[in-house]
This record gives sequence, C-alpha cells and structure tokens, in this order.
Amino acid sequence: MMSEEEGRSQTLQLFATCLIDLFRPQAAMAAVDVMERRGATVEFPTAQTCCGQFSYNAGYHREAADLARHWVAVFDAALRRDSQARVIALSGSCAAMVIREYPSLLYHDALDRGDSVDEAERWQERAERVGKRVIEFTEWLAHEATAELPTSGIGVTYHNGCHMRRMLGITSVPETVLQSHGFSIVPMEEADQCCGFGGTYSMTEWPVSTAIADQKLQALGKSREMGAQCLTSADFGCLAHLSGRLSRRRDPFPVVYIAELIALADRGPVTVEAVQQMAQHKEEG
Amino acid sequence: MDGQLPIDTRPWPVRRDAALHDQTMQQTIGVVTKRLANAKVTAYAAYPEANHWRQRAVEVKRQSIRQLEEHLATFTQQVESHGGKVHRATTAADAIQTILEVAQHHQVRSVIKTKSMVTEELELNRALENAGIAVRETDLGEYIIQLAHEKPSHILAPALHKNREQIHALFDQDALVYHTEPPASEDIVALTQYARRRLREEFLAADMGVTGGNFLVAETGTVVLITNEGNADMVTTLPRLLVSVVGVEKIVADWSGLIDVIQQPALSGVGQRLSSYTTLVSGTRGPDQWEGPDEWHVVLLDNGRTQLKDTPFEDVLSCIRCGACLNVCPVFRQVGGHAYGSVYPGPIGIVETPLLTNFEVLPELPSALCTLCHACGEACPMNIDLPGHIVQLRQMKQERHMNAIGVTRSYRWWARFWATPHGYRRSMRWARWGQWWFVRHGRIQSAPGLAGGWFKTRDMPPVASMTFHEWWDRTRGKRQ
Amino acid sequence: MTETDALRDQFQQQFEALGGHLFYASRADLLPEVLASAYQTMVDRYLPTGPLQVVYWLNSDLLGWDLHGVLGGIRGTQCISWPQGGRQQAVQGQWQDLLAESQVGITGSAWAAADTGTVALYASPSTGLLPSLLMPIHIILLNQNRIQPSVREGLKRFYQENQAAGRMPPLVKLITGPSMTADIEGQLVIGVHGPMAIAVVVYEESIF
Repeated sequence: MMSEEEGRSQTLQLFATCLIDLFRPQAAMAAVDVMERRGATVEFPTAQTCCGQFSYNAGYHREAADLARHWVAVFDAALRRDSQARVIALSGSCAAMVIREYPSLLYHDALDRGDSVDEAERWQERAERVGKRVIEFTEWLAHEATAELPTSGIGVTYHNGCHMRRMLGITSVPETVLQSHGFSIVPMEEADQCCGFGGTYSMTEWPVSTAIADQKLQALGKSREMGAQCLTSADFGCLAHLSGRLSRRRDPFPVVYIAELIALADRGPVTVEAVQQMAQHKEEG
Repeated sequence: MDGQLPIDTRPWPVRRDAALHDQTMQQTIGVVTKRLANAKVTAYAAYPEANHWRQRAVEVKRQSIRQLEEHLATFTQQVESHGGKVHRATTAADAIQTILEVAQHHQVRSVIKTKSMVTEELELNRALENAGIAVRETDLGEYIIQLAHEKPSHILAPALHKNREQIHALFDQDALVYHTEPPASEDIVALTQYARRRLREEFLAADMGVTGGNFLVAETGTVVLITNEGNADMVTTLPRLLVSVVGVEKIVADWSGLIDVIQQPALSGVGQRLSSYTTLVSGTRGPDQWEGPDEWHVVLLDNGRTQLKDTPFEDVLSCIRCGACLNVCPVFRQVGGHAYGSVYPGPIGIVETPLLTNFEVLPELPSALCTLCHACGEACPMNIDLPGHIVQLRQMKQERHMNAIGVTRSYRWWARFWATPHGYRRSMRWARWGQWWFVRHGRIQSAPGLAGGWFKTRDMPPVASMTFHEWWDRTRGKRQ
Repeated sequence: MTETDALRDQFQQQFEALGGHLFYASRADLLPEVLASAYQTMVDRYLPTGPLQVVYWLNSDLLGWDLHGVLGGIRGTQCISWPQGGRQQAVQGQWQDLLAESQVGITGSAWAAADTGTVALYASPSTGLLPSLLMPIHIILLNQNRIQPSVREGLKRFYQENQAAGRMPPLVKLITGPSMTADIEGQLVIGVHGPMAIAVVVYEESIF
C-alpha cells in the first residue's frame, strides 16, 4: 500500500447506500479498491441499511426517522472508535440527506413522539455531529494527492446529481477527478437538469418521470455525437434511472458509476472495451 | 380564512396526459423556459452588485410581511390622502363584489385590463361579463388566451402553449366579429401589429381600467406596475376610472425598500435589468393636470394569504411572481402550466395552491408535480424554501390520510424491515428469491405494487446474487 | 473623460443594447441641428412614407423653443404643442384622437439611469405621458446633467425631490427600451402597444 510511509493511515467508514448494495455491489467494491490504493483503511459498518430518503421525500417522515435513527446509531458507533475517521458516502444525494435533513428530521420526530425538548436536541446534535464527518466519495478523492494519470482518450460525459449539486454544492469536482485520472470530459447540454428519478417519484409518476429522462437522453445523444463513450455520475440512483431507460429502449450505451471508472484507471491504461465490459456486467446466477 | 381559487376539475392523469401529448406546447415551453433561465444567469453575471441587491430585496420582503397590517394601514392612509380609495377584500368573492359596485356605480360598459394573476384568481373577467360589462385583456398573451377562452400557461408568457397558426386563426375570427382587417399574414410581426391596431381602439374607448400590481409602497401610497409591452401605461393613463387589484403580500414598507426590490422581477424573470415599462401610480390626477385617473380604487386582496403569516410557510408571501422557479423546473418544462390545474403553476403553484385553500383543492400537486430536484430553491431570487415546503406539504398530506392506504402501508413495512440489519437482509433475500418471476434477459422488466410504475418504461438489474454486504462478510468479515 | 461623459457613455451602451437610438449634442447651440437630424433619421427609418405630425413638450430649460422652426422643413412636419394647464373634459376626447393620429411624440425627461438605460418621465401640468405612448416613434430630450449612475440613485433622488413637497407625482413612468413582447412562440417583437422605436437626444446644459 502506497501510504505506509505517510504515517498513520486514515480510516474511512464506507456508507455504500442501499441501491448500490443491492443492485450494483461492484460499484462499492471499486470504491473500496480506490480508497485502499490510496492508503486508507476501509471499514464497512455492516449493520447499515438505508438512509431513509425515499420515505422522507415522499412525506413519510416518521418512517424516515426510524431509518435515520438507525443510520445515526450505526455510524456514530463506528466513528467513536476513531476520532479522525470519516464516513465516505457513495451518493451525493444520500450524503445530502444525512448532512442536510437528518438534524431537523430527528429533532421534529422526537418531539412528535412525545420526547422532551432536551431529548429532541440531543438527537439533533448527534445527527449534526455525525453529519459533519460525512463526505461524498469524489470530494474525498479530490483532496487525495493523486499523480496525474496520462490521458486515456476515453470520452466520458458526467451527470451531476441534483442533490449533490444543489444541497452539497459539489459541481465541478467529479469532472476534475475524472480528468486527473485520464478521462476526457464531454459536456452535457442542460447539465443542471434533473434526470427525472426523484426516488419513488419514478414509480408513482412514471409518465412525467420518463418524459424528463427522455429529455436527458436527448442531451446524452448530443454528448455521444461529440465523442462521449460512457455516461457516469456520482449518484447511482440517477444512473439506475437512465440506464434502466436506455435498457428499455434497447440502447447498449455504457453507464458506469464513477468509482468504477477511477478503479479502472488506477489499474492501468483504460480501453473502451474495458468500460463496455464493466457496464455490461451481467448476473451469473 | 381559507382562500378560493378557480381550478381545472379534470383529474391529474387527464391533465398530465393532455400536456404530455401536446407537442406544440412542449416545444415552445422547452425553448422559452430554457432561454429565460439562461437570460437570468447571464444578467446576474453581468451586473456586479445584482446579487447583493437581491439579498437586500429578500430582507425587505421578509420584513415588510412581518409587519403586514401596519404597512397596509399606512398604505391606505397615503392612498386616501392622495385622492384614492382603498378596499380590503378577505376573499375572492369580496373583491369581485367591490369591483362590480365601482363599475356599476359609474355605469361602466367596457373595461381594459393589464395582465394580473390576482384577477385570474378572482376570475374577474367572467364576473364582469356576467354583469354585462365587456372586458378586454391587453397583454398580448392574455389577449390571445382570452380569444381562445383558455387560461394562462405561464405566469409571464400566458400564451406560451399556442403557436402562430393557432393565433392567426383566432385573430382571423376576431377580425370577422369586429369587422376589421384581419392580420396580413401568419408572420409573428403581422400578428402583433394586428393586436396593436385592434387593442388601440379598445384602449381609447374604455370606461374603466383594471390593473394588478407588482409592488405596493406603504410610505408613499404607490402601486408599481411592470410590463414590457406598455399596456399598463395605456390602462393607467387613458380611462378616467382606474381599479388596481393587488394581493396584500405585495407591500413594501418604504421607498428605499422599493428601490431594493424594483429590479428583481425583470432580472430574475427575463434577465433584463428593468422591464421596458415601470409605471408608478401614487394618486389621482391633480386639478391642473391632464393625465392620471379621476378616480382610483385599490382593492387589497387577502384570499388565504394572511393565514400563512407566522407559519413555517410565511416566506411564500415574498414571491414576486418572476417565474424563475417555473423556468428551471424539469416537470414544468414537460407539462407546462395547465397541468397544474391552478392559477399558479410551477413550484410556487405547488406550494401556494394547497396552502391558500387549506388543501381543499388539488391536493395531488406536491406529490405529483415535483421530483425534488431543488432547482426551484436555487433559482428563487427571494430565497423561498420551495423544495423544503414541498416535502413538508407531502408530510402534511400523509398526516391527513390523503394518500392511498396501500401506498402508506408500503412505506410502513419498508421502514419496519429496513430499520434493522436483520430485517434488511431478510427482505433482500426475499426480493432475490421473488424477483426471478420478473426477470427477462438478465433484467427485471416488471414488478408488483409501488415499484410497478418504474417498470412501465424502465428496466432494472436484479438484486445482485452477492450484495456488497455479502461480499464484505465473505472477504473481509473475519478481519473486523 | 469627465464623469458626466462616462455616465453618458454607459447610458448609451445600455440604451442602445435595448434597441434605442442615441444622439448627442455636445454643445448647446448644436441641439436644434442634432434634433433635426435625429428626427430625420428616425422617421426615414421607421416611417419612410406618409404625413408627419408631432406632439411635443420640452424640458423647462428649453421652454420657448420653436420646434416648428426646427422640424417644419422635414417632409412637411406639423408640430403641435402639448396643452398647458388643466384639462377640460370636453376636449379630452379630441386630444386623444389627435394624439392617436400623430406619428411622433417628442418629450423631455426628468432623469435617466446609466446602469439600466432607463429614462424617467412624469405627468405634471406642463408634461404628459401620452406622447411617449401612443405614437410609433418617441424621441426623448435628455439633459446630460440628469443622467444618474444607477436607477437606484435616480429613484432615491426622485424621492428626495418629491417627498419633500409632500407627495409623489400621481403618474411616473420609467422607460427602459421600446415596447416589446415575446408572447408568440417566445419570439421577440418590438412595438406592441407603445412605440416601436425610441431615441434619446442628449444635450449639454442649455443656454437658451
């Protein structure tokens, strides 16, 4: 490992998110690989489940708070073991949920359950304390000293997830990270527009959600004309939506989570075939 | 007291599908909203202090609302000492009654109007017409939709959903009715020239003018009107009788407050530093003057607004109707204004419609017309927490048991299982076992229940044969 | 460059970006010539044929000016002065017709703002808004000293001047570009209800 000589390695608690855990575990494996290559000690609190954003955004705040309390308890315990450790979130959106929404959600939910104001404030403080140590994966990576990799010439277009952009204020960081790992960025038209996912919105209001996704795919079409060979994002939710739509339209265009591209670049020169193969990863079972 | 809003009674799926199939509307709305949103960004970037002033404008609006009643009293006193008359209207019906009384007292036969969302709230045109008074909308877009007997589809550009062929046909028909020369061609300039000629006759003949108002200045008793066409100047200068109908939340305390807010609608709405015409009405015509109304009535409309005071939604009353939230909204860009079924479309409409009416009408708005992308929150020049309010309204809706019971149960069970690691893993194993009924070509292509909607148009990979949890247990578990 | 020149430059830039035309009389005695040329340019461009009738009022520093002597020679222009003093209801209709039949409005202005390209006009016993509204062409005379750095500054001064007198003028109009609309298919069209063309003639302090 590279950082043995840098002294004490940093400990990173991985927050994999439920979507990646269940539907694209190789994205989290790639993230572990990337973090370990940079000398970090990666831990995975195995009691973690889901941040509850689906329920929260749908207005089911009591249900969301059940999940949020569990999340805070799991990661608070993990962080207590190491005062320097941080939580790495594999989703800007889930990170935003924890950082921006948890404190007031848990405060109000405690009051709604009949707890005292003191107790509600304790939950709020606890959520704030844990939230301060959460960092989105690409933002963490941008702060890591990485030698500039030679350009692979692979054209990548990046979808900036709405919550990452607007709630965490992370806009250009992922593209910079991709560039420093040898990818060339192909811009996306109307890049700040939503992909239409919106959590359960994609299920309950599928006609509008799909119309928005198709708008995004139209923009993607233009990026492809300009040389994009792959679509990526730091939010797997958006990617699942867009790749799910592409798949239904029988369009084989490669869609890959950002950590997977970085892990690929870490291992040596990247080829288009390798990216395509990664995107097409099929379940054997 | 709850407000009253006219609504489109068609159910949401009908409104939605009508919008998604209206290609004319979709094309124009996409192009125009993008252009307006970009114009706003460019205008701010080129105007060094604009953002600083915007923040001051936010403060002005917030503070003015905090002392709403005091400022309305000052405003009333000022207007009345300068020859005007102020009426307070609690509901839409009260406002209608006041305006009809004024019109009937003066035996008004014809009215000319500026564009005003508040008069849409009142359905004033219908009320006047029922009383035998002819009404003419003079904003070009409003004129077009008046001829088509439709409603505005965008706060700023009400006829955005119509193309030139449709407008040409409407004008041809109008020319027949009024025995005048039809538009020379389908060309946009020719259509505009036709409207200029036709509306000029009506301007010169009208007995009464009706305006809305972008701001009210308490200190000076001023109503501020902002237009690009110049129709507000016509309406305020030509008829001898003038009625301004304005929502109470438009108040700013003083002139220096007005200076802070006056550029905001144009900057944020269309990316201009000021609209072509800003008209300030501060009283009736003096005895030695030629212009200005002989008689001026200001109707201050509440219609549910003050019930937002001292609630977490109070910031909604800072809205300046610039339309910035509409222009960036991905849902609005797809479905346009009519799909919202309310006077106020877009994110602000999602929030205002249920709040003004206490969920009496269109309760589906917060859930059905928002992906929670937060673009509106970022775009709102008045820092109104639109996404936060939409989430809050979804919660209120669910607390009032307004969601389908099956949906609520799904969320309950979901939370019950996933709040423990054991339940999470168990549900994952069940999903993995059950999903193979729905997998085709290595992808899930359908599903029952809440998730079913996803698979109408999208695929999903199956739950992995080895999740990340399982991979970690297998490869790293022993190390921990 | 003096401060007023810099303000005029900035005003010009903004006003022209909005589609307005600017003419400049660098010396007071050049104003008649510059106004005549501005008038000629505007009518030739926007109303190349037909009779020309002007309704006008001037800033107080130009009172006593004979506009007919300046413009009368251009395509037989008729100049009608805005009536002073109170209106009589009986003639109001006639005046509106007269205004509606005219082609050019020439007015003074109270002040202007450099950062937005705005010109402010008020209704008063000797000044009116209709000549800025009903005709296809509006030409505004603007004293260079009345150009404020910003519309904020202009509104502040306007307030100080009028609130001291106890009340604001009942009708005030800030003009920032020609009458326009994008209501049909989002395409910009100039000249809906108000003028399709506006020009400002900026002049140095008058010695007339």
